[in-house]
Amino acid sequence: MTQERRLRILGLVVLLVFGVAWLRAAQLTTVEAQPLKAKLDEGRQPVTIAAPRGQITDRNGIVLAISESAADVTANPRLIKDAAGTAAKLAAILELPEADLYKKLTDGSGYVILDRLVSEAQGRQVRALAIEGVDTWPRTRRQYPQATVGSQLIGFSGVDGQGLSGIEQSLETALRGKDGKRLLVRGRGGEKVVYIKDEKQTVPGKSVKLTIDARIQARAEEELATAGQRFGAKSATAIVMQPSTGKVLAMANWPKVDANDVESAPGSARIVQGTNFTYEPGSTFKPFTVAGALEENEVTPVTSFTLPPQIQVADRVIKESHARGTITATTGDILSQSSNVGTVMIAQRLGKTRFDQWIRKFGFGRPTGVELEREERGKLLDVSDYSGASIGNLPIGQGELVTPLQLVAGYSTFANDGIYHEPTLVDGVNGQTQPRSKGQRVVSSRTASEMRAMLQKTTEVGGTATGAAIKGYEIASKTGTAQKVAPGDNEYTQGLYTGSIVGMAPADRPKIVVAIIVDEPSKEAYYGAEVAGPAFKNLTRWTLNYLGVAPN
Amino acid sequence: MSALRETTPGVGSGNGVPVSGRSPQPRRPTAARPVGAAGVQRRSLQRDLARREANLRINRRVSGAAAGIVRPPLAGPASTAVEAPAPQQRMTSPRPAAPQQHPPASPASPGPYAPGQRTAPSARPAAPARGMAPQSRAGIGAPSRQSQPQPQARVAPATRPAAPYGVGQAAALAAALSEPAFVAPRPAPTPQRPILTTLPGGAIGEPARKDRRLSNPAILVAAFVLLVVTVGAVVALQIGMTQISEQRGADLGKITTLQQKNIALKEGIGRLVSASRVDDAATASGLVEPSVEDVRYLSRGDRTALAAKAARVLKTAPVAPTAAQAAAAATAAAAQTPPSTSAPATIADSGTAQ
Repeated sequence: MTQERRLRILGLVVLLVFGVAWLRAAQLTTVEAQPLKAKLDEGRQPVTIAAPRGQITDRNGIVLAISESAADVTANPRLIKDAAGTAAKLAAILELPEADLYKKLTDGSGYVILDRLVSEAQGRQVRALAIEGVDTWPRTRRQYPQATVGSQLIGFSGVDGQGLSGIEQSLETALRGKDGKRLLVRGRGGEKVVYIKDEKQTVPGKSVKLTIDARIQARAEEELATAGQRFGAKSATAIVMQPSTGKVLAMANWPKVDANDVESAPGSARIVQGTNFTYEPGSTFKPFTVAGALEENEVTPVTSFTLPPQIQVADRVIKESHARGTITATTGDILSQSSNVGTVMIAQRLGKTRFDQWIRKFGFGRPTGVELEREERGKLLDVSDYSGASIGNLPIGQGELVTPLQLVAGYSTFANDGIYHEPTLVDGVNGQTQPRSKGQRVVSSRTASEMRAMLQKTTEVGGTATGAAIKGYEIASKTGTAQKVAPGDNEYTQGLYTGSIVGMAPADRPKIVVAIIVDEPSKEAYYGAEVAGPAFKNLTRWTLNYLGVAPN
Repeated sequence: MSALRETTPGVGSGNGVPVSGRSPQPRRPTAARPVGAAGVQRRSLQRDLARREANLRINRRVSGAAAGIVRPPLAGPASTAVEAPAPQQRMTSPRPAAPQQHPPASPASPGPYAPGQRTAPSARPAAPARGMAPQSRAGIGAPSRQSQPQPQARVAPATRPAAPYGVGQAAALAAALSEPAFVAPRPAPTPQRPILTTLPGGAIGEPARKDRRLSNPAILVAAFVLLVVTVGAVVALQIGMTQISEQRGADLGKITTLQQKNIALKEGIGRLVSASRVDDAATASGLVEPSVEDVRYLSRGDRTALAAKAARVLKTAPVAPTAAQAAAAATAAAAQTPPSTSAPATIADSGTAQ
């Protein structure tokens, strides 16, 4: 056979092969295209991979919130052939009344949600039934293993996985991941996956590590519950803060709310009272008046005052909480005995303008900047809005509104040698520690030290917070009892108070600042030292032991 | 293909001499033929003659006779060598053959082919009949060959006379062949220079040799095996990819399951370390938490004395409850009985340690 003939034969063979292939391709793409596409679509299974929401832990890594896989079970009633049988099967899995399911399956609509956020195991069982018209959709379900611990602070997330309150809402960007999409192509029978393509990568949410210590938080909630129940309070708040860093170790609310069952709690109990509860601080505000006067060199700790039983300021008469005669008292005595008259006299030396400047320096009247949404800023009058009597009631903590966290941050300035740190709740995101500011000096170290010394006298004999004294530790604290105005009233309502106490320990080098606020106590007592003092004492002592802070 | 035709005797031309009636083509180098032995030459001629006879019969039967066309006689046993045969007597064309042009014999100017190596390209074949070859090499406008001088046979006259074209030609040829063959002396044949082809990679091959390789069964089998192995490998690769995807799908399922278990474990740990749960469990077990007031710190000092002091305190501490007591306490806790918190301290000192 000649070479030319071989080439011709080879060419013919090649043409033949390619011709057959071309004809087959043409047949597949035209004649058999639709059946093949239908067959292909049967095996294609686009799957949405729900991105798990980032977990929230306390500063020791204890899980406070975590997401687990779940599923929504939906149905298209128009495709359901045996509604009764389907309802019976699903009722056994979903643990729902069969009648309810049957009603949904026969409502004639094209789409009904049979159950939301069922467990992954339940979803798998539903899928295994392979009922035409019943589908499951991958979701994530938020779980709070600590239940009530820090529930309001951590917040809640909705059925769609978005944060609705607390840390869950404020750190939504970090916690929320990005859902992914994956294409699965199954082989004959639909059992085996023969092809996988990640069309969109799933990005899980970032984990958030809080400054909260779950143990201290739990202890604070216990103490609040004890105080609230004992005194019949409307609510109670506790904050424990590390003054040297501004880290909040605990921010507790009472009444408790189970984070896994939020809907059963009243709306007022769900708010974070540490940042969203504003109240008139009463006597716990006096130290800021005194600190301003000390910084302005208007007074010293030993400056002596002759205090009348009451003092007239414009059209208002300011009295002491307990009637007394005229006495002579130093600045320290005024503070330790919580004299209204003496504080007003100091404020008059300071003047309304400088008083306003100093209280604003301590952070009142503006949000603290803590990582929580909708933080209240409190309410401070502008100097131009002062009435003649304002300098008579504002220095003693009546007439302005503050939040518990603002108050604690202000006291932390005294505890931290005059440097103010913005409170913070987030220690790190995704393993990276949050940057910290160096703080801002508000008062001199000397003034801060003098303030601690004067506040330490409150727990001594003759002070207002003797009940808060802790054996072995020197405590610097200040109690407060503020009158409240009931909604609709124009004057302070009789019998409506907010009792509170704020203090630090150990007084010479404070490790913690603790505040207890009991709102509207209705039983036994209403003074801050009585309703909040015991809780403060127990919580402070326990926390000092827990943190390993040795006695003085 | 053309090379093969030229080198194959009796196909189209005999020994390089064009068949009368066909357009003479410029002759390409012919394959070398050894001319040493007379017997070999004779056998070759016999084969040529037999084929020519067969061709002639076919031609005459098919067209020649019917059309009345008389073909010129075959050229004699032409030599493709330097020596051209003498002009032969033709039946219809008495003209002598076209003069032969010889290549330069001077060794000093060998031209494209050295003398004795290759003579065919320059050896002009006998001119065909005018009427039969209008598109001859000389062309229509070419000068008449009749006016050209007759070349002289330099070596030997024609060994065979031109036989009349007819039935007895084969017999005449056979008779001629039966005589002792006279072979004109020829220059020693030189093996044809192979047509060299540069193969990829610089190797030099020979087309004919490659053809032989292609027809080699072993090579064909090897190529077939290679093809089968390649196709098999592609199929195996596809199967492997499918299996990998299947395995990946199964692994993804396992990963998801393990992740869910991991989350469940974390959640379980979170519940277990819950302070309230620990306190409740401790209370249910009969343990009591000391009041914060009763917790003391031991100062640095004589360790022996401190240890003895701690031992004394421990002796006065309440005895751990029995199992029955613990169960009763658990039942009480389950009934939400508020636990007692006023139990005595577990460790106390005399006040010297602070």
